[in-house]
Amino acid sequence: MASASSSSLLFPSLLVTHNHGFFFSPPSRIRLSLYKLESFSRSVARSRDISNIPTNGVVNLNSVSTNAEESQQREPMVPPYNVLITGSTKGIGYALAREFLKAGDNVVICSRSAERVESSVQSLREEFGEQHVWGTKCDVREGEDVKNLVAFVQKNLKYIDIWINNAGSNAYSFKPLVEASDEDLIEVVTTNALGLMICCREAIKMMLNQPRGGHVFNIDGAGSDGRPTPRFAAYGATKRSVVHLTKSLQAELRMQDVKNVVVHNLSPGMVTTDLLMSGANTKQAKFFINVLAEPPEVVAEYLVPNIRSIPTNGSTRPTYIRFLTGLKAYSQIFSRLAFGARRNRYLLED
Amino acid sequence: MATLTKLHVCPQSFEGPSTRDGHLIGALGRGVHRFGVGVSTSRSGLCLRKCRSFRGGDGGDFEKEDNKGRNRRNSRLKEVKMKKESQFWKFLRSGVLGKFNLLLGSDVDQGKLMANMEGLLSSAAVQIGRYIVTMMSTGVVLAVGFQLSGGDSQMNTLIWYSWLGGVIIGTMIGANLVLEEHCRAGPRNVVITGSTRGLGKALAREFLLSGDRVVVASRSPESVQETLRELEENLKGLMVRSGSSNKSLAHAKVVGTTCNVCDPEDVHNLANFALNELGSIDIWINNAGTNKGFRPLLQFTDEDITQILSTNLVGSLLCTREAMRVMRNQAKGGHIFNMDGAGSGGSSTPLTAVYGSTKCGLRQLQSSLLKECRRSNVGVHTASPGMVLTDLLLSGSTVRNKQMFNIICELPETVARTLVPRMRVVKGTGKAINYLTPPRILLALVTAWLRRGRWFDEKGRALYAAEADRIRNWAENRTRFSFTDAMEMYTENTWVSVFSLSVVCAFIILSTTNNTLPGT
Repeated sequence: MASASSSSLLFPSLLVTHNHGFFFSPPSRIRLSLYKLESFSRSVARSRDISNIPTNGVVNLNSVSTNAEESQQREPMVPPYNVLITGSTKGIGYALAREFLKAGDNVVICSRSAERVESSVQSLREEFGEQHVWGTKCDVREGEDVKNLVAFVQKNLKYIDIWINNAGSNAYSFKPLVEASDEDLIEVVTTNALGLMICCREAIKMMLNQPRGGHVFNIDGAGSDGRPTPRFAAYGATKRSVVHLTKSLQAELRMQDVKNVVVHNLSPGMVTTDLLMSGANTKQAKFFINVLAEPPEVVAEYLVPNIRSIPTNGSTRPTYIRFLTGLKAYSQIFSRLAFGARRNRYLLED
Repeated sequence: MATLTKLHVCPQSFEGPSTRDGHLIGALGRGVHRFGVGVSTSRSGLCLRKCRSFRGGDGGDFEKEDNKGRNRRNSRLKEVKMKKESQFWKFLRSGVLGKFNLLLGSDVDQGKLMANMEGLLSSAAVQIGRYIVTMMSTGVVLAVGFQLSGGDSQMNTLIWYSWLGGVIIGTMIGANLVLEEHCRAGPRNVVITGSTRGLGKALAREFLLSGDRVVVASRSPESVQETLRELEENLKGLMVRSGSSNKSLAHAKVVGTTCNVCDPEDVHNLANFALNELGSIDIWINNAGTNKGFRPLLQFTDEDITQILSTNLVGSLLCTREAMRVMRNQAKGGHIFNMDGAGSGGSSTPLTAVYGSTKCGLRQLQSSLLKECRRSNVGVHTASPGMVLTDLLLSGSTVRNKQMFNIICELPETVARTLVPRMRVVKGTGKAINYLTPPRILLALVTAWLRRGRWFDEKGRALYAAEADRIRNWAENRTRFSFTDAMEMYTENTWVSVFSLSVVCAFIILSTTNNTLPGT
């Protein structure tokens, strides 16, 4: 199995429209009741939050956070930033790493395969010099590996400002759930959900004790808006859970009054990486890839300045940075339908 | 006004057939009496009272639960026919004879014939009682409408149209219910994962006592054995109580095996086990789920996160896939249920971040599966139990939370009792079966101050009985009148027509006051 490749395939809402002829799902009593249930459990959860604060662990966290906050005021986050990107030996992770290096930052790359980390570090060092790139092997699915990664970072760079959870996998297979193999399903869930959760936990744990604080970015993907993702149901489900996890973490940090660590979402849209291209075997998929997808370099060029502007402005507000916005997607589809733009851009359509 | 007089004549004409059962006459009289009181107070009062009198009429004949439901729906259908000016006596005769023939065909035991006859007549009389009350309620609503319209012919037409509309909608819903009732016949083969504790066990018990064949599965072999023993005892207990006349339990059985849902091999074995034991799988419920307490993500260990993820997400994926594989090859298909939880709707779940995000992911999975299964005969559904007093919820909850639980939480048995009948008759795909429906939420909010000491006292000590004690009172629990159940039962039929009529009445009131007000 290849390494944890990065990339996201955000099939936008249009896919739904195109496919099935309706866009607004009819509101129903059932929906309403679900919503009600949701709001109930939420209110209960909130009360639980309040009541839980005086219990053991949270107090420690609070004190840690206030300490960190004080020190953050002493030490603002200034460039060059220290950036860590998981799953960054190819695809969008590699493109992001290059873009950060171009901006003068220090980058730590990691991946499941030691050889690929080695070769990526080599080629990046040739381009940007010895003192800006570090690399280590890390399988995000292993808690021990992630802890080692943190230790590696603390030894070489002392601190991390921007941690991007990019490692994701679709097991490079696009087929109905019924035909999916056990290994593929487990691989998708462990890489996308388990790996990301462990990384988030370790990142936040490390950043709470950093004088400069830090920003964690979780990369979303197709399905993260809750829209269906047939042929890669498991991938969609994990990506949806990633966005939900980000939301819950934001709520938790707010609850604990942590100001110096912020968790964000990052949406690269559709990127022409192996992960997306391995599913380009239907007419519909080819159409949308040609119309909406962009090479990783283009996406990184847009995302990196946006990511860097967050610590530069000293903002502590959670954000959701999107490359492929709805308006952009619609206008691209319109120009395709109206003028035939982007036809056969990456793949031959028939 | 003509309708009203006609309706008032009706009770007399029914007296012939109903005299054979004194008890029922009493019930009828009570129903009518309460009904009269209801009218004098308010329209909503009328409906509530009506429900009560219905229940009062068939007080306590638990073993005829199914039969009763069918009668009620038949009567509703037929009264709709009646409203369309069809022959009443024809309806009565066909109703009674139909029942009688059915009975003769299905039960050849002559000795029981007389007893059955009696039961039959009483059920027919119950049917008639319901018919009268429903007719009178709509009649009175109509009459009130006419009274309010003040003889305005346009208004009268409007009222008639809305009444007709209500009747037609009622007929459609009634027909749907009758069809569902028809579907309800015959035992289902049910697989429930994680069914040795909490809600899963309650669901298994409820399915079993509805006459289904159930496979229980859990990680630990001891708890599977324990659960099997307990459920079999429950089943025996119910069979003894309801007597040998109850045929619906004849096929009920429960089997069990160990299954760790995150192990593909185990899941495969579970499906094979179910197929060997039962022949086919009609309903598969992915109930196994875990939470590991309420705390920030930083305090979860790798082991915790792995376990939550693999049970909730990987387990559901593997089980759904396995169930789909099995059901695709069955002629009659099957239905898969995934359990909702906090976070399903997408709102944030601090302190249960991992659990919430798995449940949120499952909802997205559901929508993907809907697309993938569009042309197959496998139905993918969600079931939402709301908040249930199980270990999953109670572990790590504080006194303050428990005060909140008083208002909205329910015992697993109560929830299962509502969910199971709906799961059994589910059709199509993509249905959501919820416990916390708007009427229930409304009731919980309205009666919040009454529910303060419902499950926990001020110090957070549990006031409700332990599971074993609860089960001992099982039959009583099942037959006990539940207001929300009654509301649920009548939601679809009565509320629709009553609501449409009351809207019209409100409209008329508003328009007439506008006319009479000087200076407007």
